[in-house]
Amino acid sequence: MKGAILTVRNLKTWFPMRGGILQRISGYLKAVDDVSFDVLEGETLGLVGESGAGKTTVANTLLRLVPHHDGEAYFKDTEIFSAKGRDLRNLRRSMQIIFQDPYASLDPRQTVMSMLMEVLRTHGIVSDKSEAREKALELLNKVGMTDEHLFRYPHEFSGGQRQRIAVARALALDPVFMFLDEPTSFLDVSVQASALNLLKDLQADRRLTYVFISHNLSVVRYMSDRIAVMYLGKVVEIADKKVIYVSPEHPYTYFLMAAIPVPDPTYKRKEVLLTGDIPSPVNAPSGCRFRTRCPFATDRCTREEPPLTEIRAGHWVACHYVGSLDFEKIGAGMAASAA
Amino acid sequence: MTEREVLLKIEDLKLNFHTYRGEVKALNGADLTVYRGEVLSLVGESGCGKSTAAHAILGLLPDNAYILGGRIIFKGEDLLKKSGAEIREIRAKQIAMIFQDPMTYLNPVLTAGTQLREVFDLNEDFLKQETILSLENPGRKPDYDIYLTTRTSGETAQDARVSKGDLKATANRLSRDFLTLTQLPDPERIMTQYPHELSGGMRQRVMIAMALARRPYLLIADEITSALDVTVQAQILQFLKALRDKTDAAILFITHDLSVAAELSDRIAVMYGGSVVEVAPTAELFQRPLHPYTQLLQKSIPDVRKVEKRLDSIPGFVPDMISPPSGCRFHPRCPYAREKCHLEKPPMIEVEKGRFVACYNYEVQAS
Repeated sequence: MKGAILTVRNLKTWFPMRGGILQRISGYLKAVDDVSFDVLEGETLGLVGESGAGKTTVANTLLRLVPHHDGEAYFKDTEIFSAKGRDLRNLRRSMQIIFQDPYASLDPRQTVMSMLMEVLRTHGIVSDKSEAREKALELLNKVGMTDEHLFRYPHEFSGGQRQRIAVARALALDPVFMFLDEPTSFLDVSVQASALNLLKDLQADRRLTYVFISHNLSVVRYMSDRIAVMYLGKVVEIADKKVIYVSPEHPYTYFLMAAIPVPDPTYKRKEVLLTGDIPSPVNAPSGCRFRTRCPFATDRCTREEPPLTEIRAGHWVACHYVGSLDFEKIGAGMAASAA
Repeated sequence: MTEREVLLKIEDLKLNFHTYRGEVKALNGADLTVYRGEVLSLVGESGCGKSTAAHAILGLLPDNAYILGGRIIFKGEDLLKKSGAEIREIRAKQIAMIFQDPMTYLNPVLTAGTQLREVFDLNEDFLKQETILSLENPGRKPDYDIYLTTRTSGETAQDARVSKGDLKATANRLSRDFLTLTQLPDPERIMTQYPHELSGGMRQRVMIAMALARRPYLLIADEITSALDVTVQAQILQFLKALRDKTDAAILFITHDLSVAAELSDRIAVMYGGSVVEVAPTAELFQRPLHPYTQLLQKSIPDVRKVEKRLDSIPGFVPDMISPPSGCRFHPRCPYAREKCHLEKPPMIEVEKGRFVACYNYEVQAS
């Protein structure tokens, strides 16, 4: 069994909301609320959920791009939130992120060369200009681009090329760990596959560990080994990808999977649909946060919050009634009432 | 099956945008036919011209757009020859469009109810007739499907006198009915709310309700589910399917997502680089795609039901429409490209009944 490279325990990211004349803190927006998970060395952990579930906030918090409220996280042996000085610097080198929007994440006034050189020099990876240039070119080649692209500005590139530049910049520091925050959602379908393949090749080549964040569940299945499902700031289920897609145990996971469109007109989807939208994280429902949309919800779900428990080796679910819910039956009932 | 009635026909539409960087050759001879009552998906990547085509139909093009040629025939008349007032009349009653981002379409300072009622102000005949019917028969239970299948001319309503109060009451009732039709819970409350108070899925439904309230012959939906979460997307798709089954309104469903198109449409038209490259019934397109672009595209999208070892990717990038490739615009990325493909744009030919493709590889079979 591989060891954990990243361990997250009871992570909370609460954004204070201020009000009144004194701008006192009147409440919190609990974007991430008590989340724990491990990422194993060399794997890809998919982080899925609808918008507002807290996926991106998890990544941003662990990179210390937004302040955390409570909880701890270890990257190898370093505690992330208390790291200072050299430890922090090493963390920054080891953990990188590819952002969703390649139109916002690249400085429009820097050429590709100067962008890459800035990173290399800040971290003292190269000693002089010619070495920097060589290294920059090597990085570009790694992501399938050539020296003719070195002295161009971001606006001269398409979305797919920009995302490749962002990958090259992240690789410049030789990281061992990368957050991929919806890396292909801004790309066109015809270039998505080659971007995904590139990320897979790099992972194999450099033994990278990925946390792959996406709302596109088909892409997540293609990329990940294990999957964590989030709902409204909570992790509701973690398991192997096969388990998540074939036999999910949490009702939310089940409905999420049933809603995925399939590129096959002969495929008849189960007519089970969740009603309503994800509630606001400002005043999240009491007890189980999914209860307002869950067809199985009872009084107990309103009162008690279900803890994330391991029901089988490696399969964690946060539901009071795990194992006793008959999804197919409720599906049949819903189809009947819809007809 | 009898010959289907052609509702809309786009013929060889060519369109450029003037920009400071040069001429963007957005549409390069696009052809498209929409039949009455069908759902036709227009699939393509960003910049392929699918939204531009839709905006051209409705006369919603920006000032820097220049139409170089072609015709858009709707119910026998060329929309490109219509005056501004005539096009507005068509937008009010015959063709309705729903956009990807409802927040930019809805007025932020008016409630959903006010905006819905405005639709009926533009459709006075319908409003009058409904008012008379409901006055004659107070317990009348409206049949939503009928709203969309019978489009009365409103002759009976022309000179009937109804009070303003009655008209207002009917507009209110109709607004509520159309919101209910889109399966929005608690329509009464939503009518009093402003767009920012609604969630993305709810806004989208308000917009759909406003479009349906026009009782259009053609509903153009431009990437309406792309910004929504999958569970909400599934709800909207289910609703559109019900709409397709119950009414005779045609839907032109614009999307970049083949999976979504597979679920909903009767036929699919694939666009690439400013023209339609393939049109086929949905099942046949997935079973046996003809155009190389469609073939490659189909292999490059992951299917959630299986675990692919490796996806096939399409080499190269989406073309720059300021200096697009010559001839067939797909030729730089096409594995079957021949010399002819560099020189001349292949025409759209019908290779089998109902199957159209614009590719020189099929020339031989056709002749």
